Amino acid sequence: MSRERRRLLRPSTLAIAATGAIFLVVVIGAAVFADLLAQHPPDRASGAPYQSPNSDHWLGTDDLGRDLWAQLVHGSRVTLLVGLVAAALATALGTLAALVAGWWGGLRDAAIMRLVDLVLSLPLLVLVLVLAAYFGRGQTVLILLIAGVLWARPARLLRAQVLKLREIGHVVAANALGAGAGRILRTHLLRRLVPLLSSQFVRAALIAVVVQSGVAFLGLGDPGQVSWGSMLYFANNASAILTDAWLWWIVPPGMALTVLIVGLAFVGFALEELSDPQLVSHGPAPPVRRRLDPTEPEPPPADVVLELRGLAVAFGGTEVVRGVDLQVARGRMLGLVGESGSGKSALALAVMGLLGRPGRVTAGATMFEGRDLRRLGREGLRRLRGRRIAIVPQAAMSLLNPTMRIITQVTECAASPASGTGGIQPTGAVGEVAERAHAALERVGIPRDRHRAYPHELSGGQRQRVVLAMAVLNRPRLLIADEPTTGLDVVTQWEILDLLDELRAEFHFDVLLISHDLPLVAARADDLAIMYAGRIVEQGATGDLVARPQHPYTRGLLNAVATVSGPRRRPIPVAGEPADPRRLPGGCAFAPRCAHRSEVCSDSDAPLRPLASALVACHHAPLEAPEPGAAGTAGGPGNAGEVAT
Amino acid sequence: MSETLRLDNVDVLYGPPRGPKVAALQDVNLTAGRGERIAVVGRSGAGKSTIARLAVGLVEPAGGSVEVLGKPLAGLRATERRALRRRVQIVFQDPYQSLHPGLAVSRIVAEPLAVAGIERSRRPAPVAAALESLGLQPADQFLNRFPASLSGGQRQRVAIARAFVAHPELILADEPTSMLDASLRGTVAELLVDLQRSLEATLVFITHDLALARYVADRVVVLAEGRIVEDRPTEELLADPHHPETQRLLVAARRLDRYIRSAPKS
Repeated sequence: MSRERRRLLRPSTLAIAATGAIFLVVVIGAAVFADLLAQHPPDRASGAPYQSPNSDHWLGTDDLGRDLWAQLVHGSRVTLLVGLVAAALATALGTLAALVAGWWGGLRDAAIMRLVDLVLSLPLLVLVLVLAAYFGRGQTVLILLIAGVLWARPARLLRAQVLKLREIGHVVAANALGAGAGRILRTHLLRRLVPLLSSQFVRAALIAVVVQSGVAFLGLGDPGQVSWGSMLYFANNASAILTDAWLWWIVPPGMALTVLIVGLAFVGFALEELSDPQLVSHGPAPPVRRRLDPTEPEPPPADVVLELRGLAVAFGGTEVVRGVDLQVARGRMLGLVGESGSGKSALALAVMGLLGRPGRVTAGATMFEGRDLRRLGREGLRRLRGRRIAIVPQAAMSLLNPTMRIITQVTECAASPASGTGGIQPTGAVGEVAERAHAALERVGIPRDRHRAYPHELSGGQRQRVVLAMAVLNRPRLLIADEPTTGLDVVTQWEILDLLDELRAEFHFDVLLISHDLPLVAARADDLAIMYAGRIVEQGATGDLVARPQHPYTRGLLNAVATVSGPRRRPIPVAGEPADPRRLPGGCAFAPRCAHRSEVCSDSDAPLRPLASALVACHHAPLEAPEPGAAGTAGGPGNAGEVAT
Repeated sequence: MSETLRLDNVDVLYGPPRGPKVAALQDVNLTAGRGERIAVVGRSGAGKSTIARLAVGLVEPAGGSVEVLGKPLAGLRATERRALRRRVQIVFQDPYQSLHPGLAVSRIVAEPLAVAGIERSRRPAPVAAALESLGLQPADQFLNRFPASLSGGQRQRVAIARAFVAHPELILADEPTSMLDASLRGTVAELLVDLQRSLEATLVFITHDLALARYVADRVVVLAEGRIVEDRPTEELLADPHHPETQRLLVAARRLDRYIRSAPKS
């Protein structure tokens, strides 16, 4: 499954962004076409003073006889110019400071960050006013002053981002291959800073506009330049507020400023959400669709814990699980094996009702303890999760909250026996619940003096033990473990699998073990199901299936494994690339990679059918016992048996 | 003749500048000769990755000396150090992280060439050759794709193509297979060995899996808690492991074999 998080705006944010963009277009349009929009000059008298709006002067004139409409449209130029140039300068300065501080660190970092602290602690507007009064009233001076105080915030935020990016894989990789700092900053860092940069730029522009207008309103701006602030300054001096003139002298520049500021704020908000997806809160998951079929599915026999019947899952228009029938029998561990992208994780999430959008179950039934989980509804499923069915999701050990002690996190998972709802516990039960959490942690081998540790203080194996403690805390009936050992070293892998076995015997739950690692699963599971491109291609008791695999893909998986004992033998890869669920071939999905393929394979998909004691989905099964040289997989370059030494 | 990589009595400490330190490596002596393939094997936290990071200068030793391609890293000026790094390449564990998500495959693989100052017009040929030698063929079907559209195995092959495109003399592969599906690990290891042979480069293969180490390396170095506990030819070590840590690693690897060796071989 792709680990790229797609960055999309929520519809409500999109509406805000669109409104902001329209506002900005209006202001920018006025600035660009000012000469066409106003027939009078903004800075010279073009009629009698103090005129009310009329056909020649649409907004009347000021105390010097200058056209107010002309001032309004031309004023947008100065306001925008100061805002954008000051913001660009501030952002550039901030970026430079952030790159120097974040990349080189050390003394330079300390010096720059102290300066940032200093600037951030100063009252911005007062500072600009004092300095503007001191340095004079030029436009350039004002821009430099605003940039001089506005760079500090982007500098601080961007530095934090640079520090994070420094440790990210491709930046470390570029550093390791000897790329110069300039190159790394340009291609690797700057590109990834763009979202944050743009939102910081808009924010700086907004503040610059406010400051510029404030300075001009106080009469400290460039007196020769017409801006919205200066319009308000003159209006104020002429006491426009005391007459009807405020309607055409104060309201229009005030409105214009509001439109610009709101436009910038809205666009900035949308950009910020894009640059920091953590701010995005996702809406509630769509309700589980009820089957239209009115007939209640037959309950499975009592010795079957979980039964999937024709389960299908789609992400958008792509089917990733294509009709899976599977049974977890009481007391027998089922191993589900498949490559990345085979749909095994989607299957696990579907059983738990945890599929995120756009994933959804499109067909089939999931029977657990005689009930169809898909008919339970969201609330019913939520009650079941963590109590009757527990899941150890993929990469669970990195999903622990880094800011909370492990005992707190385990306690949170404990469903209080009194309320039965988890989370909220009646006060009387708190001690008992905490005690259960401690007991669970001790049971998985975390000694009591480590219970108050934070996740980062534990090794990967210990974190996985914590996750297992959470999973078994509420005595589940079924545990779905999705890649529980991935990322652990070989020795730790066995420790975790042994622990899982002990817990299973002690707490009497059944296990669905999901992994890409066939040897590992085969070592533990009683039954195996091999999944390819969203379907089960072979299923049976582990011993039979490993000794006499009947599907070419199962054979391929077994031959791809490097072994440490026996004669040294080259692992033979399964030829070709894993099937892409978006572009499945017609017929058997494995055919393009299969050495046994014939016409029938591309004509029709092979159904899962009984063969000896197993189930196989292959037109050519049973396969003859492989002869030397006749590979179970299509030959690729370098499949030449023994390794030359 | 000098070794391609030589660590003498190297100590590495991790920790805050003035805080308590943890030793990642203690008194490590290790050599890898020209054209040799060695495996550094150990559990998580044994200090394996630190060895790779030392060789490319991402980590500084607290004591001892590191020599790469006959030159001691300490005392090298920044420009010399960078020039040296271009002859040394590293393949990282996580192909989901080590590739820039915003760059096309052609630019990712060309990066070492760009860093080495090779003209833009002379980069496409070696880039295509590197991709094809890793089975990403025809190369022009991959050049304009972005990492997100590649499978995990393809991504790691792109990362390996990047490591080999500038014909390095020393390649450090830091658990290059551990994030990949079990069925792909052998293939990726095989590709590394093939490329190492064709370039006559030195390969340091870092792994926790003795089965893969056996397949890749002539010599295995076992690390435990920052110390080298065994350093012997591969088959000899597998036949008669001396140190308890080696025995533990071997038992773990053998437990998998039991179930696979009974399978029909083709």
